[in-house]
Amino acid sequence: MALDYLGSLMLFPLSYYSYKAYRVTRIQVFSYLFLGFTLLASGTFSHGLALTLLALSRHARPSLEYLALISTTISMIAETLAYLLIALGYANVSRVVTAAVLPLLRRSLPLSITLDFIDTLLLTYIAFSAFTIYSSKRERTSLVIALSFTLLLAAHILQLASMLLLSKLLLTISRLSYFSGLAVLLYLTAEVGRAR
Amino acid sequence: MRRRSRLKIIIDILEVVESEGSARITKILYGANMAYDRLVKYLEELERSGLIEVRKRCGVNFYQLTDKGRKLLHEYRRVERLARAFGIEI
Repeated sequence: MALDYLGSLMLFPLSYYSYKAYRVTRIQVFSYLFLGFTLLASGTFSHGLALTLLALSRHARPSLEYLALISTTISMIAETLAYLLIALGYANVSRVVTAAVLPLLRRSLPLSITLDFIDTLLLTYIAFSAFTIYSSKRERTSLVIALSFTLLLAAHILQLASMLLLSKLLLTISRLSYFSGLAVLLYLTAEVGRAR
Repeated sequence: MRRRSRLKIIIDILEVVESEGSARITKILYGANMAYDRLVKYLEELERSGLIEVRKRCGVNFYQLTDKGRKLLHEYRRVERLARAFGIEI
């Protein structure tokens, strides 16, 4: 729960810098990154809120459980949309990714598994793109981004495995991996903020 | 070779002015690697936008950064770092 709140706090500065970058350069990719990171931060916050509500609902009104369910759903959808936007930022072409993702949404798998699977696909694409950029530019900050998205990807794979195997341990490791990914993104935010 | 964007040209001009503190047009011309006519148009535009100011000394124009210009340079450097991290060309 605390990791979620902390995670969302880590993501908002990156979202702010992406917005600033869009305002200065008017480059569309920055607007995708801004929306993506904002949604990711909101989704992470929403997940924390869902857990808080669940914790409270044990001792209070059962209607809180319903609110928790809504928060969880919102957080999952926000996260998927966030990765989609970031992937679009990397692709800079919307048609290819959207065409690949939409058929998946129509399948009748449970929502959380479907969204987690989509997240995994999108994150694989994002991490691959980030590593490609790093290998061509050899920028240290590009490696930071590649590393953070790889950690987020690992988190989603582990989460998917935890849901299929019903393993609490895998879920805990997944949340730690997710938080580490956000922490690496925070390091990037600090690097950007340090520019004189 | 890739053409410089409008923003990059503005930043190049501002960086020369910043590094000189107070720069004559010839210094900016070489520093920003631009043709005279084009540079004059840009300098007029930057002055109108309040990013630089002109001071006349002994009949010669000297260009200086304003606070707004310094702020834009500072923001641009952050943006540049973020852009490099994501492999975005400005």
